[in-house]
Amino acid sequence: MVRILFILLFSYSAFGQINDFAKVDFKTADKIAKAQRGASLEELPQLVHKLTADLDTEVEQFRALYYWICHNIRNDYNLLLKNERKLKKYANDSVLLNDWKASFKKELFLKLRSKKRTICTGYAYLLKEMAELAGFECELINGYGQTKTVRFEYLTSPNHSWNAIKLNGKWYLCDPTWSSGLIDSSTYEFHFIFKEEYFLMAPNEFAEAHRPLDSKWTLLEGTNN
Amino acid sequence: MKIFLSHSKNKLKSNGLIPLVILLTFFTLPIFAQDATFLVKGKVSDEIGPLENAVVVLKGTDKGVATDTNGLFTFPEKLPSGAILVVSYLGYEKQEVMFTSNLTFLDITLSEENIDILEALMVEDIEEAKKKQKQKKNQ
Repeated sequence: MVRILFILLFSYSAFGQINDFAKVDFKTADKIAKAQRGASLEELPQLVHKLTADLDTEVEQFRALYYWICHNIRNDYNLLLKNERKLKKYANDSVLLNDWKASFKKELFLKLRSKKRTICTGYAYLLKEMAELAGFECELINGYGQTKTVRFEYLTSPNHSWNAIKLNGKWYLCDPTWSSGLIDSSTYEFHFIFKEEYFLMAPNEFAEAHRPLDSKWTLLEGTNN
Repeated sequence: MKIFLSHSKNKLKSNGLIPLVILLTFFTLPIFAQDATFLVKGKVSDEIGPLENAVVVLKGTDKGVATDTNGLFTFPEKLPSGAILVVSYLGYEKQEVMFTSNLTFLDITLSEENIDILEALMVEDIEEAKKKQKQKKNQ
């Protein structure tokens, strides 16, 4: 009997992720997030409060934060190009390289605060910051992200950041950058397209395009978490 | 016998005072605590100098204030001793500061977040992607 129970529990956790919340209707959370469209990041704690205070469950509160970010923060292609150019330029000069990284970090946060534009680390950082202000445990995960144009085998260094979030005592994965939209391959402009699938995606599906530096954050069975 | 009785009554009376005092203490304590609120001021800086537009909120509420050009703030309402303030500024590590009545000026230094900046782009044909998204929704 105990064994059956154990197997049942085990298989339940393997299904996991959004299935845990299959019965949750996110309409209210999404509506609250929509009502804050265009809100400023200057008073972030107050924004977090507005997004979460009227929602009862952890998953709905987190959803409102996620939905807001994915509909209000733009991916900045020029910022990315600028960073790539400089990283290449200073690749052989560690002093200049570190100077650049420090000044780019400042620029990144300034752009995020004042223009609500960023690149992926900015999305993951903002989600972590907002989730923590709402009282959640949230991690920023660095690793390798595989896209249509960049395959895992060609990646020599980490290129992507995403999040792990603890809801009701259990960790889940999400990718706010890829949930927010796409860069048009012809104009290189950013377009908001909400990709729901990256919100609390099942770990086995998530692992197809995400490889964290620390394998415990795959959240797959057999990894130590 | 009579003497003994009256004596025990007296004893009861004097003992009865103690619970009364305790009871009164309980009633007066919260009133006292409510009254004792303090004007909280402070300054937020980073390693270089004052930090403008850092946000100071009472934990768990939306009551708060942003720092001025000199990094200074005055909390908009008086706070009781033991109140926890969350001091944050995007790009810096948040700090929780407990305010106590013997320290009404808070000096807070935030340090920059230590993060690596990475980027994996999703570059796709937008029209195609939108079509796909629609198909998914209709399914």
